[in-house]
Amino acid sequence: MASLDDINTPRLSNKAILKIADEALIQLNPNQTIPVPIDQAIEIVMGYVIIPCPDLQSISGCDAALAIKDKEIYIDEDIYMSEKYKRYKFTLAHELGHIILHEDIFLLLDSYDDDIDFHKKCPADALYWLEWQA
Amino acid sequence: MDTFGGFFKKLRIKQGLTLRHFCLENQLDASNISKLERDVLPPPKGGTLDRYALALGLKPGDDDFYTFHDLAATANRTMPSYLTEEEIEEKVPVFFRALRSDENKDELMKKIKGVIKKAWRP
Repeated sequence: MASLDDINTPRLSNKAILKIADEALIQLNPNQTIPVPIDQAIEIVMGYVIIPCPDLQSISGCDAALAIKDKEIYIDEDIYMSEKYKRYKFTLAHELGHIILHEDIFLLLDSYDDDIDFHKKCPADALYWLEWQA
Repeated sequence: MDTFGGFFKKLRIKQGLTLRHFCLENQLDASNISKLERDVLPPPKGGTLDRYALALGLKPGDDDFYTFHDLAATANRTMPSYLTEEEIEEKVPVFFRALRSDENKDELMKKIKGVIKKAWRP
């Protein structure tokens, strides 16, 4: 079984990411609705539980956090309920990007300690890649 | 057998509504409804329960209307779901926000964990 030391951050090109995104869109938004109903895709099609958390952003600086094994997305409640729908859509789309592109990596993290360890061991440029790709 | 929260969520999804859409449409608090659907909060009683039934499209006389109220009554006689510390530990939230150079990762994780813990407490 792979360990945290084996984590290899993929370096995907723009073209490769676009191809993956297009394939995902066909599955998650078969009617090609515009704007893409991202929360519907995550909650209703993929079966993730979206959990709005008051003050997540102000306390931690994070807009959202993903618990992939439990299929849960914790999102700052103000962002989730914001009238500015672009922001909540962007936040959820970003988490969806992580689910599609980085699930294998996240499934290696078994505990909070692993998560902290991962952040400590993972080079800054690798973290940047993960963020940028999503 | 459905729990009250599970049945609530099933009815909402049946309407094709996401949590956000359902709460915006009915002017409800999303974190409370989320807790209700995860059985973290016990069902309300009286007028609030009726308001939720209406929002979920239930009409007196429908089977689902009675199931909804029966499940609420049953849930109010049992303890709400309460995740143990161990179960919360297993949630492992992943985040990749760029950290400030002076920021302590353990401290940040503790903060996120605290917020998540609140989401699983009544």
